[in-house]
Amino acid sequence: MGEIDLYSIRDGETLRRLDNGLEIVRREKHEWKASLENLQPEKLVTRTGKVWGSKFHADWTLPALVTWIEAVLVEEGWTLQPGQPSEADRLLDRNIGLVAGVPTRRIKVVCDGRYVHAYPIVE
Amino acid sequence: MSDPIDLPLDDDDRLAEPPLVDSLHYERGADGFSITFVPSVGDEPTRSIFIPRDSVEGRRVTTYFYRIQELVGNRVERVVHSGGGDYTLRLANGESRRLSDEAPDASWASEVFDRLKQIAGESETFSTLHAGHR
Repeated sequence: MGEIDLYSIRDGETLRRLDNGLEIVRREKHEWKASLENLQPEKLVTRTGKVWGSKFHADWTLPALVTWIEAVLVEEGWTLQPGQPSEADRLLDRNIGLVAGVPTRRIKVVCDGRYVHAYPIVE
Repeated sequence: MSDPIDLPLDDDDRLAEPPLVDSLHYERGADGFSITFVPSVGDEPTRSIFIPRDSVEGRRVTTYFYRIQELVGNRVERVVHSGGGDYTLRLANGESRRLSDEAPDASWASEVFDRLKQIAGESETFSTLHAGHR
């Protein structure tokens, strides 16, 4: 059986279910969109801000993101703990996305006890 | 030309201002709501909390959540913020419904947004009251 096309998975649905019960979910609001490339600077600030969600650069594909998040989960030792949220962040050596129009190297991983996702945050 | 979409998706984001629910689901075993929200105050982009159903805020969240399920006509397993005033709801029957896909025909979509806004408000209250006690 071939690998699943992660882009066929809808927003909020599970990209990968781990053996420990945690589920990495898709969050489209943090994914790069081609339409962002032609925005006026002030519009880009809004579209990558708090309400519309910070954005990963295009090279952070879903397969790459899932693999990266999974590695962080292993490092943190998180397991399924319903009702017990956790979070962690990582500073990378390169820009990974935009927060309110500003490039950033920092990613936050959020787990609500069951579902996990990640997004760029300010350095 | 069709009528304007009756959803808070305007460019100025006037209506879709924090606090906003970022994600939400009912955690059956723990009997409460796992909620991540975008706070209206502070520097944090999101805050994650667990609200027991049997708490003041939990009872209100339960009421709003039931209303959302009533409006959608199915049990809602998960809600995620899709940016701006848009949300995606994962239903128990396996379907996903996005508010922006439903407008302008579905009048329930704007009420779902309103109920989620109320849940975000309850989340912020709960988080403030229980700060340091988690």
